[in-house]
Amino acid sequence: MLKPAIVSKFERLLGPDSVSTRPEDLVLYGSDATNDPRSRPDAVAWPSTTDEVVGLVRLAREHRVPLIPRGAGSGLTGGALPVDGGIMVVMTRFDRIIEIDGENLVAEVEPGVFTSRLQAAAEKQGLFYPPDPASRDYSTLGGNVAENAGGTRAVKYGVTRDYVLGLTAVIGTGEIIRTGVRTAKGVVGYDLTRLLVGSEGTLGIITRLILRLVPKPATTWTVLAYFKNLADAAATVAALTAAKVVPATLEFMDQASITCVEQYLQMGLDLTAGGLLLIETDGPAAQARAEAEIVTTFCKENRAISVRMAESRAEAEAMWQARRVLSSAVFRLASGKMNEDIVVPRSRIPEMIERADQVSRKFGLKIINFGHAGDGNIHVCVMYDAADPVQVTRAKAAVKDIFTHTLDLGGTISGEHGIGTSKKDFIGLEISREGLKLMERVKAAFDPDGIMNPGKIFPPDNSPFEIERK
Amino acid sequence: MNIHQLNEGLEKCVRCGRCLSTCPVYRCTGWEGSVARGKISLLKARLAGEEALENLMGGLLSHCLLCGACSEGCSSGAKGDELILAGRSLALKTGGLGKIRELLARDLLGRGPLVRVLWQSRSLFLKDVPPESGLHFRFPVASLLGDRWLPSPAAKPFLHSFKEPSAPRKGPRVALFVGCVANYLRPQSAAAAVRLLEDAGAQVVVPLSQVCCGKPAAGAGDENTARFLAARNLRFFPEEDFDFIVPFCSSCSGQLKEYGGLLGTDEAVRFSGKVVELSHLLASELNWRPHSCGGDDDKELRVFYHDPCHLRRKQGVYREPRQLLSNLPGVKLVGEDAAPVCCGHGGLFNLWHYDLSQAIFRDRAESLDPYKPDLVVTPCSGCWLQFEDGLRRLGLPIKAKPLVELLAEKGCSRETDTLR
Repeated sequence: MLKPAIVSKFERLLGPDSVSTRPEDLVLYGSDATNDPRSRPDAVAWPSTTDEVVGLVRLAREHRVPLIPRGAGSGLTGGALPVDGGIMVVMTRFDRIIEIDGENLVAEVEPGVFTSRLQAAAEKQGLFYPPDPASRDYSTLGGNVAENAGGTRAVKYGVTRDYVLGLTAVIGTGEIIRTGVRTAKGVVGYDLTRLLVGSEGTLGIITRLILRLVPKPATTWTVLAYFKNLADAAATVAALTAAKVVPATLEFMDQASITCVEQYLQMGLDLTAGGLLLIETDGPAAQARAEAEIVTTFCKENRAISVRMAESRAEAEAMWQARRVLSSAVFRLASGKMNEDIVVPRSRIPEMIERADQVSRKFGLKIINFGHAGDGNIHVCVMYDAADPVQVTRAKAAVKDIFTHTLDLGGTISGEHGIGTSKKDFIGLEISREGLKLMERVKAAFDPDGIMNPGKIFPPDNSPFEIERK
Repeated sequence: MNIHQLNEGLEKCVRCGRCLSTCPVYRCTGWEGSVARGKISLLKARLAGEEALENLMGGLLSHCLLCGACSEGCSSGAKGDELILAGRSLALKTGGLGKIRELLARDLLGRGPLVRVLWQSRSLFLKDVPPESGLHFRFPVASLLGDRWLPSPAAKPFLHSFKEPSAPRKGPRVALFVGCVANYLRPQSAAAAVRLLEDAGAQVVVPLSQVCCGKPAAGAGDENTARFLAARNLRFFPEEDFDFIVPFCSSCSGQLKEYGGLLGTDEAVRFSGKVVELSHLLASELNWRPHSCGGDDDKELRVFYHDPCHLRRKQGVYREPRQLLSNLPGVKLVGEDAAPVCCGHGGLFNLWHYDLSQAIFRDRAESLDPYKPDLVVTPCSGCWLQFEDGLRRLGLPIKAKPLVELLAEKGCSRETDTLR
């Protein structure tokens, strides 16, 4: 609990309209999308300028108060959870699109801008900001950068990291750093931009972003294909790779996910199918259409039950609806979900799904698989009854097994959601002790007083899971 | 909804945050308390016994238009607006409306003796302005209604001045439910509705003792008053007398359809079963077509149809009003495929959070820009009031009118005259 005298200092710093200790605000801002009901910050602050953030950091250092940066609060791994009180630093007042520079293909934005708003603004000028996490209508660019968010277009366009040219941040010392460039290229000193992208608010608070844009693709073609089983779908993906066709998106859903979505949307999805692929090609009309036709051919060659190319934007949107609602629609199956976003090399997707099935049988829990077939990023959802402590324990053990299998197949335990609080117990499975210690030394350089989003990423000293030393 | 159902409903929220992208209030404030997810977390905390929140429930829960956008977009099945409404009822039950306030509410909405006295003496405390002057209508005594534009109360409420037609007609018997705004503030709207329905071949009856549909009370979570008013209205609409009960206002329409669930009696269920929304009745049941009206069609009027949230989302009516408008002579329907945008009135919300209501309206007004309408029409009295007030405030050269008035004006033959 923060002493009222200290809270008053923060109120004097930002003004009474920008700091709140009202009980309702502590509840409202006590959680992100991870649904942890227990945590509460000591206060909520809404800064609007970099200087105000500097003031916050200095005051926080002086009184050893944790600071937790927050965008829209839609993160899935607890990045914005106040694990030990502190001040929730809500960045939504940083909501300006400063400039969209069409000549230089650069956008300068504040971190509180919602991602789809930048996309819409860019597209009005014939430009494109490709990273499209499913939450783009309700997540901010700052949050996307802090978590290195991915999305369905990563297979062709890459992830958020690939679009951050530079940024301004107030690091844990209270210093302002301007990293990176505003140009297409640059290599001057260490790449601090890349270090901050995906740092989950543990090194500093971002107050400005320089983002790369690309020309907007002229046309988009959407294909939906049903398969009797996922093996056939995987074979299609392999065929596309071999033919050097890179679609803009290449999504898959297993039978359980199809059933789940159909129960909710009742849009006539084929419930007999063992899986589906949702594929988009984009680019100049002739080329993109030709690629879509190659996609269709490969689907048929690999025993697709049915293949359909959308004939209108509306039809394509309807196809996408099914994929987008999935993350929350799965909750209709069970009250608890551990949504893992593991990545394996693309060629090993079928094996990974088989391993997931094994885990499901071993623990008696339903596991749903869907995600980005194009880049190997599978959302493995372990479903369980949140009210049953036995199931909760089993689910955690199942997740550990999933991670072990993932790493065994040459993968990584998180593709786009980050570590946050949810996976810090497991990070030792993937990063060596030396690696973690080095990361901690880097953090100490940025944040000597340990006020920047404590309790995230790094495991507690007595973490049960570690890489077995060879 | 009882506590158990409320808890179950709250559990459906998985906190994904999707509602942030559809909530008109959040769009304006950026505050987590504006949006369904936020209020759900407050309700959960309150029900889990968080002491500090006990006294704040009523105020925090008022911060919602009940527009239903959250429920519509929620893939986990959490019905934000219903949960918030249940929360309001709970707040009233535990905080108490107070016997006096409850009696006042019933008198006001039930057209009891107190409101009749207030009405007769209104010139003492209301400043009258000519309807076309566009000047603000100020209440010098009560700060409740502040600085907003409102139409002058009619010299005579519709229900005082309506007379039954002398000659009985053939055709389906339709009982008109007028609603408070049309009755007190815009009787010519109700008259237009009668004219329109008669033109469509219906025999219109107007039970003169009808009282408020109860939506303001229901919206505040005051289930007792809502039930009281429902029971009252049921007495004045004996079911054997009518084929259809047609509300003038689409918000009343929603509430009347709830009477079955509210009272639970067979009679109430049958009553609700007879409620048919006006444009649906005209377009789909009576197959009304406009007659051509020669004369004053010098310039084609660009008309934009505004979907009331309750009509589109909750009652599924959006095609028929557009259909009726597109057949009108002298009218060009613009922006018919535009995405629906809440006007921000929200009934009581407009009273509790006027500035925010206007800020939300600004989004609606801006969205009209590409279509350059001359006139906005809508079948909800609340939305209509919001447009009249809001368009004036913003100084926009756009007029607003209840849908029915435009339909009658442009589509009916001149002979019938019902404001006798």
